[in-house]
Amino acid sequence: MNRILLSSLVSAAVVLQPALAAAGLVQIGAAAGVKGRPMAVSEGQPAGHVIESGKPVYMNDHVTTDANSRMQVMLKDETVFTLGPSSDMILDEFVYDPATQNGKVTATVTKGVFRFVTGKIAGNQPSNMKVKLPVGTIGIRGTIVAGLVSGNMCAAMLAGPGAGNNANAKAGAFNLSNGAGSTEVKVSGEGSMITGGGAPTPAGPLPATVVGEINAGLAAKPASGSSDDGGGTGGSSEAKSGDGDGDSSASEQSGNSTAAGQESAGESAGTTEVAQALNDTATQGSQD
Amino acid sequence: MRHLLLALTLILPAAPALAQSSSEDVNYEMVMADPDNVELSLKWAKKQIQTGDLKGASATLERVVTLRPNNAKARLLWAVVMYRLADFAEAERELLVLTEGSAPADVKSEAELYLKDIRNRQRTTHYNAVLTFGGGFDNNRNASPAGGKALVSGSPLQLQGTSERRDDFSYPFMGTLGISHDIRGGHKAFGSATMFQSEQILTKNLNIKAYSLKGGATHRSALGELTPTLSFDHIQLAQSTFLRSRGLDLNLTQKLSPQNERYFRAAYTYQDYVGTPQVRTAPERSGGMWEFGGGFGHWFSPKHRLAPTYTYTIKNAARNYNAYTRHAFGLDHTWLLGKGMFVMNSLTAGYDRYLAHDDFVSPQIRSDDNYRARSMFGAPLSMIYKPLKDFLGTVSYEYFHSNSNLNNYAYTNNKLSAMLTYSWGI
Repeated sequence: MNRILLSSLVSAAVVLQPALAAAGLVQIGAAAGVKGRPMAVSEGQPAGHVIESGKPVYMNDHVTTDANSRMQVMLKDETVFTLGPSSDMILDEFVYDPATQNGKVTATVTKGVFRFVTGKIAGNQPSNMKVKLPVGTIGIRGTIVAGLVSGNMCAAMLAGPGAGNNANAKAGAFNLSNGAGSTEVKVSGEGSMITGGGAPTPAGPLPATVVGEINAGLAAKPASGSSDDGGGTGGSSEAKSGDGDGDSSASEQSGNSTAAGQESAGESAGTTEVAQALNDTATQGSQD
Repeated sequence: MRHLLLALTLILPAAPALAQSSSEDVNYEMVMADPDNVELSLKWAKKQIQTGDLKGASATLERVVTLRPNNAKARLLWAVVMYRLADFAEAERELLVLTEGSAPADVKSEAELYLKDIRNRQRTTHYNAVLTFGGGFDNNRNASPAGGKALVSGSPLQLQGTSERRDDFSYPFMGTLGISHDIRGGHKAFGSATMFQSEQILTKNLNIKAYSLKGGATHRSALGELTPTLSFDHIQLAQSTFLRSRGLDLNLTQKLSPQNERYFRAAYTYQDYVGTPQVRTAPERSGGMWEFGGGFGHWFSPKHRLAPTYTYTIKNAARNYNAYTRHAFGLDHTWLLGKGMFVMNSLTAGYDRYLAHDDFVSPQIRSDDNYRARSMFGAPLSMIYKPLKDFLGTVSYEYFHSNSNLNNYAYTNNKLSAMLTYSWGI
């Protein structure tokens, strides 16, 4: 029965996509990393359609995932939203000029677990990106945020870049606010939450249950009994070598080994400056 | 100018790499059109890393891991990208999946190293120790004037004996113990104690021993990172106290974008010189010193950074012939070679204008133009032998030339040194 339903929905999606484009909807990005059967209802359309990876996402699309679904929305300015299971998001506004990298992004998450990485628009003008929640709004300062909306509770956690990152990235921050107050979160791993109509809690570690729920919604658990490129992580998986990256370590691929050189260079420069200043002081003495 | 051109030849070997760019033929539009193509996404993630967009790479790798949850190497790469972004909570979550699952041994051992490091970083109080030692050679350690003559009351006299140019070896050692404490809101307090010693083989009157204490705090705000630092230094020359100084330094560093940052600095140091058997006139140099400066750092690529700097100095002294103003211009180039190796090149030019003449030397007021060029190569010793992962080796060459209207202060020195640094921290 489920197979018949799925087949019908996929057929509907195939038929619907050209129709949606013809309906004058504005494409703002694409769906990606789709697992399960997320649905989208486009503006002015009477029925929803199943979302597939690589297919367009339109302005004002109302995207939902069920308990077994998750997906990403890649917007044209390189903002990426990840929606976990049982989540609900509306892409309210997206204006983007690739030439100037200016624009505006507004999305509303009404339910579930989410994570977003800001793109060019927020990178250029952070105040031009907002994520609305049922009981508050997240204002962004070029960053990664993970969060949870459950009933009349919402929580948002800063997921980087943190102070002291070695990626030359400006430390991120966000503001969680509503009519009752505003909290700035600027330490990676910390967050703030709103319950009911109350003010956002002061910035700090979120309750373990909330963090656990966010992690559970966003983590990609290894599948047991299967194998994959790059060596398995799960139960009885085979450990094949290679993922298209040769034998180089993650430290090298991620640039961490290179960045370690930056730290060493800075320390060595500091030591050299101290030695130089002292030698110069001694030299002055010899010139007297 | 001639000296700057000469110094540039030190830096030019690094130039071809400035033109390096990513060769991966992949862009965001291609990935949006085929987002579940894991190979394409991995290529895109690598390009994002190469171009310094680690935030973007974290989203790309998150998708790869969602699509291929058993790809241990991709998961480890995702975790290390989040580690680099100082997103330790998410990095730890993914590293634990690897260490607690059945990932290949090499992936597990790399993941365990990062987990250990994350746990150290999550402490609020950190301790570190750095030991540096090595050897150096100067071909004019005693800053003997060019031409072998010095002015006395305006008349040139031939230099003799120990006043003549002397090359010499030195054996410097520096040890630092540091502590830092993270304060809520991303701020921190820090302190350090440093001991420096440099023994000469021949010019024993230039043996240096110095003790330094520093303490300060970094306050983080939307404006940037403001760091006030208090310092106390005690310097001995040939085993006699030569200089005691105490100062306050204010530094504001602003990160403008992943590629650009700038800093502003203001500092005041009171220098209390003490006469020694070799330098009886030292107290004439005592007085305050103000420094105002700034700089701009730009990453041309994730491997190359150029930083022009400027500092204006006002040095007061008990006798005006030791007081001066200085305009100092600098240009630093950092070249990250990968695997922890680096090359650092720097050029500085300083223009010192003294306030009065010294009757003992000349009726003319002293005016110096100084040029310094340095190139340093550093590499972790773990490249040779893995257990030496906490050791760093550096070799450096420095050229220094002082032009002065008074021959006493016009000299050239070339310095070669090799140092070994051991770092420890929790």
